[in-house]
Amino acid sequence: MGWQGKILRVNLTEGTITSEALNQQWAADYLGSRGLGTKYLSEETDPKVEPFSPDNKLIFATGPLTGTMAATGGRYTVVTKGPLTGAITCSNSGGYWGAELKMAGWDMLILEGKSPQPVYLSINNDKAELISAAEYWGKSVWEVEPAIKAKLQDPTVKVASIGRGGESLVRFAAIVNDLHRAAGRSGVGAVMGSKNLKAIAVKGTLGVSVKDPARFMAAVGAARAKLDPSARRDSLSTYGTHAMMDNTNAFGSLPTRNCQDVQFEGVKDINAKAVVTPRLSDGSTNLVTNKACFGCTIGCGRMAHMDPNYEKASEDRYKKISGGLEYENAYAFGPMCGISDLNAITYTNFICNEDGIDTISFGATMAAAMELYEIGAITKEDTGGVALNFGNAEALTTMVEQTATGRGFGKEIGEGAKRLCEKYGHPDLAMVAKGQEFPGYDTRAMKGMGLAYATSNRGACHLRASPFVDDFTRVTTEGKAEIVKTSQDKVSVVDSSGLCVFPAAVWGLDDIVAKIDAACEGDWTEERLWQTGERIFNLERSYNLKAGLTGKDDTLPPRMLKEAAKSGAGKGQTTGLEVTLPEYYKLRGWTEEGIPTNETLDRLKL
Amino acid sequence: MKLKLELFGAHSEKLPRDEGEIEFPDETVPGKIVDWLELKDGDQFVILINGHPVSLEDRYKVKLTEGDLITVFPPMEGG
Ligand code: SF4
Repeated sequence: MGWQGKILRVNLTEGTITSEALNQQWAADYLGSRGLGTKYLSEETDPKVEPFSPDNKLIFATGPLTGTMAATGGRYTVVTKGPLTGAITCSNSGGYWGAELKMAGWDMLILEGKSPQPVYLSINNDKAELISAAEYWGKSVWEVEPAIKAKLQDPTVKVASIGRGGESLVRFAAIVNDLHRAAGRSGVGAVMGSKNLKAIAVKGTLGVSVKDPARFMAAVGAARAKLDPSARRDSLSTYGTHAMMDNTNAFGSLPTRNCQDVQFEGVKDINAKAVVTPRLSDGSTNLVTNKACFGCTIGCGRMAHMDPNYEKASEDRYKKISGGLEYENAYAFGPMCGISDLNAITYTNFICNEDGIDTISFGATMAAAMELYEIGAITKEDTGGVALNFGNAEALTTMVEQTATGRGFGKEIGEGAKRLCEKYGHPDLAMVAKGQEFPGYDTRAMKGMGLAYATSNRGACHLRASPFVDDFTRVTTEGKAEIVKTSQDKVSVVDSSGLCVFPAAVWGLDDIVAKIDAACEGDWTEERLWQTGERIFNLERSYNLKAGLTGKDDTLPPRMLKEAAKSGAGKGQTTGLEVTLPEYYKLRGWTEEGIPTNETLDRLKL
Repeated sequence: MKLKLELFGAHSEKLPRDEGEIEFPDETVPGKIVDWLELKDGDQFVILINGHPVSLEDRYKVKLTEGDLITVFPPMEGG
C-alpha cells in the first residue's frame, strides 16, 4: 500500500530485466524516492566508483505518494553518483512520467552496467524490453520523444529521455520527461548517456492503492484546504517562481555577472512582468500559459512563445510553445551573465530543453567563462572567435548551441565551472559548492542559503533546505544553523514522499504525515518522519565521506567568504560561514571535521 | 509623509499604476501599510525599507522617514 512492493532491475551489459520485491525494511526506514534510492545506491555500489563507469548505477525512484491523489504527488527522483561533483546526487522531476512508472506497478527502476549499443527501455505495466535506439542516437529530446510514441503507436505513453547533451557526457546533462520537465541537476543525464540508454518509455494502467482510502482522502482534502487559498499558491500559479527575481534584486541577493554584483540593472526587461507584457512585434506575450505536473493544484510551470521576429526563432520548432522562463533559468542566463535580452534568454532555455542540459549549471558556467574572458584568461582563440563579454547575448546563444550538442568551446563549458576555471588557472572564479554551480541566491545577504549551499550533499542547491523567508527578514548568522538543519531534514522527507517541495512551504510535516500514515503500512508519526529525514540526510553524508569528500568540501568560493557585497541588504558583508558551519556541525551531531559521531549514527540506526 | 512603495508578485495590481510617492499619515509604520493593502496572508509578506529587511516583530514599531522606499513582496520558497 502506498508502495507497489516491486523493483524493476535492468542490467544493460547483459540485456537482462528482472522483477524483485522491494526491501520492506528499507522502505520503512527510508520512505521512498530520494531516501530509498540513496539506500539502494549505498548498499549496491562502491562510493568510490567512477560516475561514468558501468559499475555506477542509475536509480529512478518514486515515493509512496507518487501517483496518488495527494496534491503534487507526481514526483520521482534520479539517484546516482554525480559526474559534476563526485558526490551522491538526487535529481527530482515532476511532469507525468513518475506517476506513470508507479502506475505501471514499480516503485523503482535500477539500471546497471552499460549497453554495448544505444537502446531504450520500454515498460508496459509488468512487461519491459530493451529495444535498439540506433535510429534515435544523435537526436534531440524534441525528436526522440514523439518518435518513440509514434513507434509504439501510443500517444499516451510517457517518455523520459536524454538529448545530445547526455550523449556527449555534458557533466550537467539532464533527463527530460514529458518534453518540458527535467531531472535537471548534477548530470544524471550524462550518467544515462554513459550507459548508452537513450530513453525510457512507460505505460502504466494499474493504479496505486492506499491503506485507508477514506482517511487518505480526508488528509488530502485538509492539506488542499490549506494550500489552495494561500498567497504562496497564488504567487506560484500567477507568476511562477519567476516572481522571485524582483525580490532578490530588491534585497541584493541576485547573483550578477558571476557574483561580482548582487543587483542587476536590467531586471525590468526579463522579470515576471516582462513576460506578460505584450510585445510590439505581434501583440502577444512571451508567457502563454501556466502548466501543472501530475496531480498538482498549483501549476507553477511556464509555457512560452518566442517573438516571431527574433532571428533565432526562424526555424519551425522554435515557433512552437515550449517550456518558458522560471526564476532559475532566467537568473542564470540573465543577471548571472549580465544579459537582459528576453528573446535570447528564452531561446537559450529552449535549447537547454531541446537537448537536455541543466539551465542553472549552463548559465553559471557561462558566467565563469565570461569573467575568464574579461580578465584575459580565455581568448578568442579558445572560443573559436566568440567574444565572451558579459552582456553579449549572441555569445550566450552561440555557446548554448555548442554546449548542448558537445561541439567547439561548448565542450569546455560542458565540463562545468569548476573544471573550466581550474583549466584556465583561476579556480576561485567558479561559483560552485562541491563542484556544482550556484542557483540564483547570493549568499552574502542570504546567510542561511550560504550554509545550505555549503552543506548540501549534492553541491550548491536551493532546494535542499528552506531558509528563504528567514533570510529575507534577518541578515545575520544567528540562528541560521538551526533553520538550515531543520529544513534539510524536512525537505529530505518531502523529496522521499513523492510530493513536490513547493507546497511544503504551506504544509508542515503534520500535514504530510496524515497522508503517509493513511497511505502506507505501519504507524507513521511526525516524530518518525523527522527522524527519517535526518537519517536520509546522514546516509547521503556518509556516502560522500566514503567517496572521499571531507568537511573541507563544505565551503563556498572565496568571493562569498572574503569579498564584501557591494550593495543591497548585505552591503559590506560576507557570508559568515565560519560562524554558521561549526554551529551546524554541532547541531547535526557531527565532529568538528564534519563526520557523524558514532552516537549520531547509532541514534539514527545507520 | 510621502513614501515610495513597491509591491511585487501576484498582488502587485493593488498599487496605483504610477510609481510615484504616496501620502501616508506621519506616524505610519510598515505593518500598517501592508494592512492597508489588504493582502491575503499579509502578515507573512516580506517588508524592506530602503532595501533592508524589517523583522516580523518590528513591523509595527519601526519609524519611517519622508521619502523612504518600502518594498513589499509575498513569502516565497524555492525558485
Ligand atoms: S508546484 Fe510546480 S513543480 Fe511542483 S508539482 Fe506543481 S507544477 Fe510541478
